[in-house]
Amino acid sequence: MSLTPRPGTLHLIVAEAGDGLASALALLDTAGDGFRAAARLLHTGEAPAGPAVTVSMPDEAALVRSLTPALARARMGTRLYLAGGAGFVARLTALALDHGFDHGMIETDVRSHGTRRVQCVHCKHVIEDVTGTVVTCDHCGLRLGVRDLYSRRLQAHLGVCILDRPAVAS
Amino acid sequence: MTGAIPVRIGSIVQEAPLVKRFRLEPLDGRLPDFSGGAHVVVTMLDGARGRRNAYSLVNPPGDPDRYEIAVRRVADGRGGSIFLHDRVRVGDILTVTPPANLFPLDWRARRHLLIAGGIGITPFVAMTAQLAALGAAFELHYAMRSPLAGAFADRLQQLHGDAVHLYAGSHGERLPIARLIADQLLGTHLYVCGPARLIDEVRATAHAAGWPDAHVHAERFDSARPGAPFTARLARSGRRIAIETDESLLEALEREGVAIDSLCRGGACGRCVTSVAACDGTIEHADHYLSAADKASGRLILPCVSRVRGDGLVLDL
Repeated sequence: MSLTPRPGTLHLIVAEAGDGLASALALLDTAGDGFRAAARLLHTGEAPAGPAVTVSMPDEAALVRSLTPALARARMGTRLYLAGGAGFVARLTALALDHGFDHGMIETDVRSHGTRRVQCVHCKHVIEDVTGTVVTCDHCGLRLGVRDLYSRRLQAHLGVCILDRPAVAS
Repeated sequence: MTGAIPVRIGSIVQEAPLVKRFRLEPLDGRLPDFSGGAHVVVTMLDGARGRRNAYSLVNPPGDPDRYEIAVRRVADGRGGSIFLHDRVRVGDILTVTPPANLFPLDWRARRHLLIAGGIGITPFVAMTAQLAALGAAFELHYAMRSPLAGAFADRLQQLHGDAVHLYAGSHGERLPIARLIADQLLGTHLYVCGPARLIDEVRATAHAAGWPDAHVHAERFDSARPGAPFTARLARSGRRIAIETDESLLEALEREGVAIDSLCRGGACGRCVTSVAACDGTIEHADHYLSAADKASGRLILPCVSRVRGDGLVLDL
């Protein structure tokens, strides 16, 4: 889903390098002048060519440090647009919710090429970039079946232990 | 209209030149509790004639021994408010429905911004009491024609101090709607009650300023307007019911003993929606519930507020 411009007084656009940044630039391209005048784009990776007002950050940690004061100052009317991989979008959504945003103020565009974010329901560890329907938790070592259910609160699919039973000898 | 509760008028207080506050006490037992923003429907018997109007409860919730309503005298209405103002005395018996709340506070809010115009203050009287009791952050902005006309203004200011802001039109003071909406803490919910044009302006301003619609709550203070008489025919029984100038279609059906479920009686909740089998004339839709397509179809009507201009209609009843 590409990002849709919403009415707002301040548009904070936050994107991950690559497809996320491309999505953010497409949003700025399609939106009107009024939207662009009230928009700020923060992203990881190299600065794109072109006239857009962007702030480039070397990595996600630096981006979060730069974004956090803006989220803390945000008033009603601020809209947040997030674009990038599932993990990136999930972590920044959680950060925004912590600052009083709710899902109605956040537009997301997840570009994850079929990978999913999975929380192990047993040890609560989150495993990024899961491609299959079975994954081994890299924290507690249990083999998990990935449920289709997506938790918006956790921003992850749930991974539940599956028991590998040895084949019964005939 | 189930579970009507008989109540006695305990006291009548003039709150403002056109506004009286009625204290309603149970004949026996305890009154059901309610939450801030709730209303009751009051049935007034004027001879054989029954009138029913919805009024917000204005006393603080949590008192099983009374309900209080504030009624503005509407000279050109269907007569319910005039009946309460001019005819009802202390000691009289009326019936009310159990409270229902179509304008509740959203407790997910980090802050509550309340905007009232005129008699639209009434739901906020109980809501602010509840917010204050729970220590929730709120501010109330109340526009009135003149300081004298503003029911509850002094009391609210005494109770809630700096959280209450008053605007008297007679002093050239206007609600600073755009400024209020532009500078609010993230997670604020907005509530507006008053004339339709105030609600429309607040809603449009908040939407354009980027407020999610789920953060904006409104209660309209509409009730049925008088209009030309018409006839309703009931398709199943063939009965014909005449609707007089100063009664609503819903009131006429109730007068004839036709059971119609209803709740807000102001065209907001949709509970009384009724199928129209045919119409000889034009339905004048006055509700805020049916979609434009539903209204255009002519197949549905909210009898609490809408009338027919023409001879009448056939209801699928």
